[in-house]
Amino acid sequence: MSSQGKIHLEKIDEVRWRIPRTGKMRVDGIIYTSEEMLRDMNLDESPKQVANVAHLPGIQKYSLAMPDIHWGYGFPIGGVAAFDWKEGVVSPGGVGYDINCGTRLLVSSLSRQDLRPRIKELADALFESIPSGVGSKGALRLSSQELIQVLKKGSAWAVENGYGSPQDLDRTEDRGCMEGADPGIVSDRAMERGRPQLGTLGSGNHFLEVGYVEEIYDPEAARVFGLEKDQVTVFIHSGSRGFGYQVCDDFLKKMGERVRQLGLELPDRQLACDFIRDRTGQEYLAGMACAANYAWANRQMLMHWTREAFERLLRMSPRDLGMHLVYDVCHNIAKREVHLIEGQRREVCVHRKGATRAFPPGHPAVPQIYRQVGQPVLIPGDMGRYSYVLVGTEGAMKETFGSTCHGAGRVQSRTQAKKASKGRPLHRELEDRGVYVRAASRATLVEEAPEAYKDVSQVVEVVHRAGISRKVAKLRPWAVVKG
Amino acid sequence: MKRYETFNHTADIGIRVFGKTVEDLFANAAHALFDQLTDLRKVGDRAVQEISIEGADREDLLIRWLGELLFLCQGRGYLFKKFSILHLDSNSLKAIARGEIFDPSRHRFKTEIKAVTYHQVAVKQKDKGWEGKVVLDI
Repeated sequence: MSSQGKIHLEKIDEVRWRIPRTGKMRVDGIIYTSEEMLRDMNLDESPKQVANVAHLPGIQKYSLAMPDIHWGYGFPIGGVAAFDWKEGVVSPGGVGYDINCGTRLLVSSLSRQDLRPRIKELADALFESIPSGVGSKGALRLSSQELIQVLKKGSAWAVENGYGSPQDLDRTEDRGCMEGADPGIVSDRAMERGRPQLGTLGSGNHFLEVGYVEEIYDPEAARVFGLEKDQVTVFIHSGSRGFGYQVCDDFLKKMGERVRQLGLELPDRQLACDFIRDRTGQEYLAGMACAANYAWANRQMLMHWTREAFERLLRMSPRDLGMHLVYDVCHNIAKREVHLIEGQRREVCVHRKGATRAFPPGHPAVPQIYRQVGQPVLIPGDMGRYSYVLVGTEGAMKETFGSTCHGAGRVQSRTQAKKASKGRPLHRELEDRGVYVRAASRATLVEEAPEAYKDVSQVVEVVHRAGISRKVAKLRPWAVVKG
Repeated sequence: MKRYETFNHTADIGIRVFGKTVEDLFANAAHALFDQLTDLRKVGDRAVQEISIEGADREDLLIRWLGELLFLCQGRGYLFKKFSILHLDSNSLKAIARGEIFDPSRHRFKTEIKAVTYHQVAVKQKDKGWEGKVVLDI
C-alpha cells in the first residue's frame, strides 16, 4: 500500500515547496510552509500523502497543501485538490469523516471590561447550556420526517424552528444550505446515528470559545466585518457528528468496490473515489450535501443556545448584546466551483480537507455586505494562544482554487500529548494564561493541550506572505468549552 | 503474546494487532477498538450480538468488521469485550460479540472514535503468527 519512501521537496521560495511529479503522479504537489515548520514535518508522512493525491484521475494544476498540513488518512489534513467536473473524480477521503466540520464567529457589543467580572460564570453557563462530550446526545428528539427536512434545508431549517434569525443565513457560506441534498440515498444507519446528535458540540478538537479582539491588522476589512479592538467574540467549531461519519464510511466502502470495478491503481485504499459523472460519485455528492446541511443546522443551534446563555447570565436583551454572526465557513467539504485553468473558466470539484474557502473581493459567492473587501476566513488556533480572522484574496483564486489554511494543525499525536501532560495541572496552567476551560473529560483536555498544535501565528504568517489570504484581526481565547 | 500496541499517528490512533491465527488477529483487533474506547474492566458480557460480514479481501473484512462493531457501539450503545470468530475466509466473516449496553452511571468513553479508516490497512502472515495494522480516526 503506501510506501515509506522519502519525498523530494524542492524549495520554490520562502513559503512554497514543490513535490516534482514522478511515477504515476499526474501533477506536481505544492506545499505552503516555512523552513521552521518544515523541520517539524520531517517525521510525518503528510508530504507523501500530497504526492498520493496527485495520482487521482482528473486532478487539475497541483495537489496542494496548506501550512497547517499534517498526517491524515488518504488525503493529508490541510489538503486542497480540484478535479475536472466532467473527467474527474470525487473522493470521500478528500472531504473526511466529519463532513462540513467548520467554524463560525460571532461578535458582541460587549467589551472585555464589561465581561471581566463574569467570565468564570459565563464559562460555567455555556458548559451547562451546550451539550458536549463523547457521543453526546442533544435535548431534541427529532422524527425521521424532521431529520429529512434538516438534511434538505440546513441552517434555514434551524431558523424556521426558532434557532437564530434570517440575517444569520446571509452570513453563512452558501447561506447554510448545499444544493443537491437527497435524503433518499442516505443509509438508515446514518439516520439512526444522526437523529439524537443534532444540537451537540461533540468532542475532540471541537469547541466553543469566548474571546476578545486583541489586535487589528486591516482596519478597513475589520470595520466591514464589524470587529473592534477589545470586543468580546465567540468562536464555534463543530460538524456533522455521527451522521457525517456514517455517510463517509458508507461511501468509502461503495467507492472501494468502484475502484476495483474500474481497475484504478491507487497508492492508498483510503483514496477510494468514483468519477463525478458516475452513479456512486453523484450519490456521494447528494449524501455529502445532506451531511453538510446537518452540520450547518447544528452550528446554527449551538449559536442560538450561546446567545441565550449570554442573555440569561448578563440579563441583557438580544438587541443590547448585539451578538451578530460574522461568518460561518466549512473546512471539510467538496464544492462545485468555477476556476480559471490554463486561461479558461472550468467547472471543478474542489476538495478542501482541513482547508477553508478564501474568495476575493467582488466574487458573487461572497455575501453582499462583504463583497467590497472579500470573504471572511476564520482560523481557530489552540485553546491557549490565539485565533485569527483573515480575508480572501485574488491570490488564492490564482494559486489555490480560492483556498487557505483552516487552523493550527497538530504537531504531537494524541498519545504524545497525553505523555507530555501527565500529572500536570493543565487547567491551572491555562488559568494562569488567562484562559478558563470547562471540559467534559480530562482526556480531551490533555490531548488538546496547546503544545500539541503548531503555533497558529506561524501558519497564518505563511498564507499572509504567500498572498492567499490577508490578516485582519487576532483574537485571544478567554473561556473555552471542550467536549 | 501481546494482543495489540498503538503507534503514533499525528491526528489519529494507529493500532498494530497480533494473533497466533488470523481469527485471533480479528478478535484482538476488536478488543483493541473497545480497549481504546472504554475501561473494559467495567463492562459485563451478557448482551450477545451475532455479526456477519462480507468483503473483498482480508483487509476489507477487517475494516468492515471493526466498522460494524463501532456502529453497534455508537449507534446502538453496545460495549463489547469478548469475541468468538465462528468462521473466517478471505471474503466473509461470522462472529459473536459479547458485552453490555452503555450505562452512563458505570461506563465512560475515554475517547470518541469517528471511524475505522482504510489508510495503510494491512493483514499479514509473519513467521510466528499474524500481524495487522489499522488507523482509527478520532
